[in-house]
Amino acid sequence: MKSLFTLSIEEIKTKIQQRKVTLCVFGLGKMGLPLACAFADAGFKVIGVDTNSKVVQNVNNGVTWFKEPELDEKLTKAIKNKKLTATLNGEDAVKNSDFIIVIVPLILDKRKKPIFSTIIEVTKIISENLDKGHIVGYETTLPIGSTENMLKPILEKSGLKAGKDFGLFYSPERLMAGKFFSRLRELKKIIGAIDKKTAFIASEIYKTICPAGVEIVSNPRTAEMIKLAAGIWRDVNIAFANEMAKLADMYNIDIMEVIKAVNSSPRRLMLEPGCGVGGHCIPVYPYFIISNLKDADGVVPLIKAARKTNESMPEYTVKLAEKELEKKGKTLEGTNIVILGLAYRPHIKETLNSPTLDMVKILKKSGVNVSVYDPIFTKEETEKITGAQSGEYESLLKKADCIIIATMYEKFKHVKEKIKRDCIIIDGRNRLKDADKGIGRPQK
Amino acid sequence: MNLSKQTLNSFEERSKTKICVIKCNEIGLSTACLLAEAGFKVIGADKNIKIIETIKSGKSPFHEQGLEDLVSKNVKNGRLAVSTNIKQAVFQSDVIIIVDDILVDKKGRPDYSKLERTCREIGKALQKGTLIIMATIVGPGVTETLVKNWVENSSGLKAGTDFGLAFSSTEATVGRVLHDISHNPRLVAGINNESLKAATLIFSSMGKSAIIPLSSIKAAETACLFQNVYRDVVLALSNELAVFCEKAGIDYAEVYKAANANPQCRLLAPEVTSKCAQKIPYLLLKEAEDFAAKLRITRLAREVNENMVKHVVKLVRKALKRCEKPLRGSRITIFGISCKANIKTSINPETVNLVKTLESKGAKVKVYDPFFSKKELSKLGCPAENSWKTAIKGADCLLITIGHDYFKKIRLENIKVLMKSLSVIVDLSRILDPEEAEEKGILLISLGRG
Repeated sequence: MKSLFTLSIEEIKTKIQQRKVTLCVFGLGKMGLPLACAFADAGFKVIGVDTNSKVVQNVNNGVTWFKEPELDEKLTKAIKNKKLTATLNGEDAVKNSDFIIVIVPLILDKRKKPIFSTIIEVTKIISENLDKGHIVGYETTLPIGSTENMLKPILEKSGLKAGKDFGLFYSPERLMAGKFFSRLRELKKIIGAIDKKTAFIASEIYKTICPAGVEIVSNPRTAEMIKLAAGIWRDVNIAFANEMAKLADMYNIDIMEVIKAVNSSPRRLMLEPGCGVGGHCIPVYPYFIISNLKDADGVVPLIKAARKTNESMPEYTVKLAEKELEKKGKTLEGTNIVILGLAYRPHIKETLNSPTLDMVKILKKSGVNVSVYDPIFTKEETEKITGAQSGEYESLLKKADCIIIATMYEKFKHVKEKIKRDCIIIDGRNRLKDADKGIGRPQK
Repeated sequence: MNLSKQTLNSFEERSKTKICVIKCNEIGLSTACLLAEAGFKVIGADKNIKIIETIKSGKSPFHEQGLEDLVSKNVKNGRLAVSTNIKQAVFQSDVIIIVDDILVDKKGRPDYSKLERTCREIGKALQKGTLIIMATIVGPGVTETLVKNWVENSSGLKAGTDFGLAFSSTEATVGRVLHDISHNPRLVAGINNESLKAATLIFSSMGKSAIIPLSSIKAAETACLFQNVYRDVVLALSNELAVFCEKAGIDYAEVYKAANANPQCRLLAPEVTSKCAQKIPYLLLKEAEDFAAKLRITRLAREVNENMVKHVVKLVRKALKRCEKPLRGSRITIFGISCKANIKTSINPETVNLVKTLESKGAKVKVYDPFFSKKELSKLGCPAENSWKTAIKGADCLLITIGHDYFKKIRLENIKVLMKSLSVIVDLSRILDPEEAEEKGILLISLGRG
């Protein structure tokens, strides 16, 4: 009885109030699992689906494999109360649920085009098991138009019609790994559905976990764009900061002092420069727009240029190191350089688009003896991911001629105490007081 | 420097200090008035006789909120005097504040020749112990190289020992300059500690602005430029996204409002001008080029914003096409010429540009703005009308460029009856509700709405 979409407004309200709705969440990653737990915590029965059997096993055992505040207790409680079960079987999960949310990752290939295979596969499973009355929603960040132009036709292969037989909506995940639950409480949930009834049902469901409320927008593509726009604003803003940091290097002024002064105006929010933008959001979203356009240079020149600038920062950082070494009569070739930090953000075990990876490649090409250290990765993990050497923090530092800080962990702030006298410190995150060089910062 | 030995904590003490503000433009005159209010003896110096005569008669030459009251009050009580003789004004003053406007030529090169003349004139009358404050937005390094050299060479005095040199700037929006310069944070830096201290002392007695000291004049000049370029870049991105939305069948207004609910996102509404900041990015671009630095983002942002006029022409063309009319020969009425809603302020040069572009393509253009008379508009080369009704009578296309409340009050059906039966409205400032227009059978194209 997948009747949710065909019920009257009053019946829907009652069903949701009594939590007589079964949810299905496709994708139990860093965003999907907390989302499933949030709904279980709100009292719904949730079926989580993932293709990784280890993930399914962990969830069913109440074990988490990444750090997320509040997640452990919520998962334990959900498993204990039998509100959450995980399964590899997507078919049954669809059949046994009323409200389906897809939150699987979407990554780029080497030519910066999104790889849709995962989301399409999931959508096919849903389509093949779709019933009248189902509601299907997507939270994965998507190129504009994907829900309506790509996913809807797959779902309609079931013979059912979106907006008539089943509900379809898009609601962007706008939270942040490491701050999932606190952000969930603060942010409004954006919902763009293909019809008013779906929008109503989805907003009633999400209101149970989003105390800040729900904002219904015109359609799925608007909701898709809202998510991308915020990420692109950040990317362009960072590119501007990077461009200005390079200029500050020429003028020999401190970009951090200037940014602080710029932001003294309440109408300005200039972001900070750095050695590169990593992760699966900021460096990826611009390509969701760029790769969909034949003439991206003509239509979105600024978005494209911003990417180029930000992608040049690892190389720029290496050049800064090279210049500082030159001042000491050294060249890159044969020197020992230690990159501190591999995760794209401190304490988030994720290396996608990490500038460290680019810097390792560039340094290796120049004949540098590169090592990488990150406190949340083991020596073996670091070596496998980067192809550089790794080891103990202090012993790596002792033999270094130059250190590049790529991710800002607290203990790196005191790195000067652990190094040889003539070792150079390049601060790729502009947080040290005693670095030889930062991005757009002269030596203090 | 004698100034550093003084304190300026009381009105009494301040009344013993003479300040000369060079150029009585919007910011200059507002600064002069606020300093006079704080007790200083102020001379406003400007070569423009008409401006000086207007101020002398107790009136404000600019439509700035509250300015006329302050001018009239302080001219009467004698704390604000004016002069066209810069040398004489400088000779009598302890502090000189330079509030100039740097022009940029067609190739995007800043023209510092006016500033040079002013500086040389200052130098000829400069007394030992005077503090010079540059309150003009310039390229990074200009104050400590060009300005300093011009003054030193013409005065024979040395900056830092014989006279003080400081830089100071604050953001101000036309129409509300008086409020902005007395409330917005003010960046201050000096060639040495004494200059910084003296400049801080003066500005902290003027209004409620927080004083933000910087370690060097160059850093302060740069920060001031970055504030302006930052806005230009964010506006360019907003314009780029708005135009993209038109093609993607999305309403940009909905997007940016929802995206900005996240305090970490600050997109703007699209705009066919970046107000009065258009030329400031060029001050940075030129200096950077001298360093052989390519400022890709800064330059592109300018291009995107400058291309908005072309985009508007495209929108008008598209709009007319919907009524199966060509641009050539069509009658187009433009509502709004000023660059800010609801006040009489400087005109939007991009709108004038738009008028010319449309005319060059064979359209017959008429302009109406409730804040400008027919005569004023005609002077700008814009064919105008005295009432909105005569302006839109028989028009094929109405183009709304600015959201004056006056336009919002006009009822759509009243517009409809006056325009040709087959006509269209292009709304750049998003004051019309698309749903209402549809209900009333009016063709409407809005900027950023697909």
